[in-house]
Amino acid sequence: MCVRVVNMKGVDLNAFEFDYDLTLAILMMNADGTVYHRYGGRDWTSAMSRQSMPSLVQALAEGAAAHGEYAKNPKPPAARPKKTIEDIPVFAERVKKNPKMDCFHCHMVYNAEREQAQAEKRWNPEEMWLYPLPEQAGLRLETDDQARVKEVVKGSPAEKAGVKAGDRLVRLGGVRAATEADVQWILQNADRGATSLKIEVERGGEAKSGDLKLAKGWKVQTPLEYSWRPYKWQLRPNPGFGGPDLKADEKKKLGLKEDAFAVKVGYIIDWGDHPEDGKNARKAGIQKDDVLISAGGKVDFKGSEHFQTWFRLTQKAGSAIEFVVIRGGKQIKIRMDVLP
Amino acid sequence: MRLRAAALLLALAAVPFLPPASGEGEDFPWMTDIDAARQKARDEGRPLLIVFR
Repeated sequence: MCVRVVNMKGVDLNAFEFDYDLTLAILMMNADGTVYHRYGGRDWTSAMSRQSMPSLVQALAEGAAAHGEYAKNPKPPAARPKKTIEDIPVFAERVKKNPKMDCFHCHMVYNAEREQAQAEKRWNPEEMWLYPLPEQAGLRLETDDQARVKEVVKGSPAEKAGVKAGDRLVRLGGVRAATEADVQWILQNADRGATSLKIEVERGGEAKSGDLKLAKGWKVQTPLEYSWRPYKWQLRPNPGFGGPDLKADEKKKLGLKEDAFAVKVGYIIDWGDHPEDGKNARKAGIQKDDVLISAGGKVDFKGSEHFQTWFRLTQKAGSAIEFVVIRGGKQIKIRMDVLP
Repeated sequence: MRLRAAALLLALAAVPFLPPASGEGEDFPWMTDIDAARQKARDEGRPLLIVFR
């Protein structure tokens, strides 16, 4: 039964759990709620970086086989009450204020959950570390054959667990893992503190296993790794301005290298819940159409989203930051206070 | 099983080119009502392939 969902309106979040920041997520499951396998995922380089047709075919075959196997001994998960994004009070309030709002994007689920948790003063900033990639444990999987270990990072938990390149992943934490999205699901549900997961692999036809010992903070990612997530836009502090990356010819006109960091200030935030951010940026001297080329002395950002994420994850309220912008062909230094 | 997977794959590959939420039927083999699809899968003992985009 093939289902295509382009709107999260009415979707049971307790039955269909996945990384809501993704632009494509696939669940292969039983109607009783048992998920056989998952597919989808990405990293900062591109939305398709962790997907391929061969691995999708493999995942579908695994899903079909799992369904046949499950029928012999079904173990339906405990029923949970239906919960939709519209059931989250802060989101329901927003919809009430904007009755024309009808298309609920997947990433809005995270925004709504975070806002609700913050309203109830129970939000833990560590909840932002979502669906860790296998690299967080030192594993790099093949893109076309996602149960195959491509590389093991030296000194990582995976290496210490005895995993080797070429191994075929069978189970992680006792759960069958056939795709990278399966691994991410298992890691998502693992404790974010120090924890240990049994990793079972197949090597040359033999079963091997070890303990993946993950240290406290193992889910934390760098600003670059995190930069693709829509979740970042909701984090604070916020620089109060932003815009698109300059194109190669635009950089050339300004005498910048093709790979240099250069963002045109296309907007200054005067709207929404925090218009003070834009006011602060204007007060510091930021102007629309300025070209930002440095922030806090750092010039090696991969682009606008990297800068935006870096600012939110590294800058502390109460401190100050120095920007360098190009305006009228001249470089200007701007010092801005960082607001909470 | 390979044939079944290939058929699913072909259908999946066509997803981006299908009109959004145009309904169900012969011209649009993908269901869009997730609760109805779940009930149908339950009734017919078939697996669910759900694509969130």
